[in-house]
Amino acid sequence: MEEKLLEIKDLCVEYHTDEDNVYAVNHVDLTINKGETLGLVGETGAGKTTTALSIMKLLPIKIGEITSGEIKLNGSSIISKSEEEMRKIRGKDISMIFQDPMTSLNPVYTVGDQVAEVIKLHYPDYNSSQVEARVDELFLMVGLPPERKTEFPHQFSGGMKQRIVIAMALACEPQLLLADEPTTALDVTIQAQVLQMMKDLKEKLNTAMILITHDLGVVAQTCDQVAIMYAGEIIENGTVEDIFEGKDHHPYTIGLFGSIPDMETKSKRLHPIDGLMPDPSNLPKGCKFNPRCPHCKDICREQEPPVYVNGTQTIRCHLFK
Amino acid sequence: MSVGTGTQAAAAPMQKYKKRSQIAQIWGRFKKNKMAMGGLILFGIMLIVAITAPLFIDYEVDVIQQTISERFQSPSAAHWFGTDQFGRDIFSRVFWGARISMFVGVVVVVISLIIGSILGAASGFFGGWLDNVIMRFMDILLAIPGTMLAITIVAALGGGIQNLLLALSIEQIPKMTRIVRSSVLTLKTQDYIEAARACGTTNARIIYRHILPNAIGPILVQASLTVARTIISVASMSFIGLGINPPEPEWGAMLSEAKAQLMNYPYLVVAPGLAIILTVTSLTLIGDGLRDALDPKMKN
Amino acid sequence: MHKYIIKRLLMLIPVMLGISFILYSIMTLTPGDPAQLILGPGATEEAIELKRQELGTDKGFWEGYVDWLTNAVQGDFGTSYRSKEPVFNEVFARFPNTLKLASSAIILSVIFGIGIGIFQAVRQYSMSDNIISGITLVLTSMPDFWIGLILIIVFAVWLKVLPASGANHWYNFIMPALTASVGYTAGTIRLTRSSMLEVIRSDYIRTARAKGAAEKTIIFKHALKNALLPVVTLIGINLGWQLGGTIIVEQIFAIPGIGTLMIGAVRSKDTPLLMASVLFVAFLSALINLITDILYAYIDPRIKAEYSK
Repeated sequence: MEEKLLEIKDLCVEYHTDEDNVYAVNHVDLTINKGETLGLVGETGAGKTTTALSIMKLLPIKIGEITSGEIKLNGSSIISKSEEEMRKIRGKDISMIFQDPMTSLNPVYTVGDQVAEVIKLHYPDYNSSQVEARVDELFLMVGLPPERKTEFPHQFSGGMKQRIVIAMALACEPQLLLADEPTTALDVTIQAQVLQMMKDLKEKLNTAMILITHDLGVVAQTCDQVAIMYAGEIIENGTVEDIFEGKDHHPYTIGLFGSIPDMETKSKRLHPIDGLMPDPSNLPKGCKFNPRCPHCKDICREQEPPVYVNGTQTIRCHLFK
Repeated sequence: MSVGTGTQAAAAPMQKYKKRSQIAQIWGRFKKNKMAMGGLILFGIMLIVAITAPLFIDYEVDVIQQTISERFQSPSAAHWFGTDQFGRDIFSRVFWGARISMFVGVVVVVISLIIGSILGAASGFFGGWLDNVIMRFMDILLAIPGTMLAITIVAALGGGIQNLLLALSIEQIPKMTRIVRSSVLTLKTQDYIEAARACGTTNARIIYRHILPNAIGPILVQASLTVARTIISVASMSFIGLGINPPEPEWGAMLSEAKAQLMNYPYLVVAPGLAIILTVTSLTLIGDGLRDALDPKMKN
Repeated sequence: MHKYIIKRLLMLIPVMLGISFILYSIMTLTPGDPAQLILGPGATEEAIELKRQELGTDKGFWEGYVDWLTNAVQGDFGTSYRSKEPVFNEVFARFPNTLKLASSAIILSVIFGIGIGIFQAVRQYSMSDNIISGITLVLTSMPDFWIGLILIIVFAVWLKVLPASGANHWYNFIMPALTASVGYTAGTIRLTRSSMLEVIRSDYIRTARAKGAAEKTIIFKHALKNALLPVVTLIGINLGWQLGGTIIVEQIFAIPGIGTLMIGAVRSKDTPLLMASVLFVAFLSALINLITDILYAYIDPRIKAEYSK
């Protein structure tokens, strides 16, 4: 039996802006086992990044608020932890890689200093030569020559910067890595390299990973579990096999797959999903997907759909009973 | 963060809308800003006061006529802010002073705006040697620190409102030129300008119809701040005797007269000072509010 | 880097030439004859003509300028019409007062401006942030001479603890420096606050938080160095600007500085003295801006790379 690493139960997050409240994450349940990779898939604004930031407790201060729910790491609650305790967890037990490597590094410090900082923070006993040795080791691990550690971020390309960010995230061999679209900002050829490297490293270090992406190809290659998010909810969740080969799917998942060109079947054109994601400050009643759903029934406009469980797969839709 | 990207994503399609709706949107955001609206209302009141002052106040009798028997009276029902060393009512003088400050402020902005827009637009749009000549000349003017240039001009030509207008405009033109030029440079490479050019629109028309309306935002911000700075400059120069001369009730000139009575009648410095602060604060609030309204990303 | 500095210094030559020509034109083309002014209204036509020859103002516009320029290039900026002293003797006699005033005003503005700006940014939208913002706004709207008058009333007239004028002791400079610094302090507060807020929202600060860095480290190590970049530029500009901007403060507190010298020179049509004093301040202020830009390069490695190209 696999060991549970992270458990999210009924998580709700709101953003408070001048004008109104944005319901970014609504009643999300997720479980990740040790060493496993979960793909969190959805459109921009579906609440993927917000979910990840909630796990780190790094929601923008005074704007983002976890209104209900529970997040447990190794069985102990993160929500109830103090800022002081969270600091010891961030970078050590849970690390995060952000989307844009161009802006993720501090421009006025050398990359070596920035990698060393996280080591010094979590291993205060290390002397400076131990820290430096570890930095060199990490640079080699992500495929960068250690002698470049004295250079500044602007001297590196986007792909190399992301490698540095990855080195920083893996420096303390975390149990959980949150990767927020780590390759979206990179060239296609570099994307594959970086992704492969992340996959290898996480296997080597036995790190669990939440990979946030909207690229289903990446999911198929790297993930064990897949959760599909729409308007702050997880509308379908299952193993990679469930999602890619299973019979039953949420209409949004079908739409998502219909938007990808397929090399094998010859279709004349793509089938994008009609319409736009609802405004998260003004969500529709009932099923959040109902205005765009081709199978929409009266009940979908009235009641929130129940969760339909089918083995390892769950679907939140009225079509299934 | 997701909120930030959300607002940016929402702002992007807005820019495609037409010019009028863009101004309406800026106004919409401006209206929500309480401080900015407060500034606008305050400035509006000051402007009305300046324009209508002759209806309530007789320049000859209330503003400049000396009544030695009534000198140095403390604030009272008859003289709300008291009287000065010549027995003149300070309240009336401060009110009349708004006319002078507003007039100089607005005229200087209009002059520097017109000349600065022409020079800046030409410089940014045509580039090349013209840009070089104009901008190097502006660099020279800007390289004279502080108020040295304006003071030299006024001191050489003598005081009086015309020379002051000239000197302060010369001081402001380089700043305005730079701002217009940099807006034009940014806008020049935009697709819709390329499109207009591809349609065979003349240069003058592109500048007038497409570039200047879109550069209006930063220009308006600069204009409101320039009026504010100019009002302070006028007062400063009059204060050291290089601006508007007594008996005109210019605020700086009034303060200059008050300085001689500092030991015995310090209250004389209060009213003209507050008048300057109120006017300049209102303009600064308007400028800040405009800047926030133009660039909603900067808020939050 | 050396190339860049030399290039900037070379660019100063046309600017200084331009300034000298503008000043010369203003002085020569406006009404008023220095010879007449020196000799007074009762002087005879012959005496004035002799004086003109002595001063060298009898030459035509262009000839006069070319003469001045030829001498200036050789290091001779002429003598004052009035005092007959070489102009730089007077400029150097007055300059220490202006420098003391300007630099102490800037130091005050840096200390208070950056300190208060950071404090506000860290407590954005709190009560204290709002109150300070309000005060700063009013301070930026106050003319400096008015602040000077209020200080005189409070400290010289009421409390009688500070002298209202003079420049002989260090305490003579307390009120003038405060007066001159208020506007700059307010400007520095506003810029530090907004720059800091912008940096705090940036991705690399989020990265630092994700590493588990403490809030203090984030503010003072990661955010401050980035946030100060625009502030450094502002300080450089302020100091350069201030050297020519203390005129009014000098007038209020009767400090014999460059500003007072300059106004006197214009009034008495003392062209060589005016040109020397303004050129000197302009040159110094350009030099300060250059030093600021070099300093900037040392804080920001991206700019340094840009310069060495």
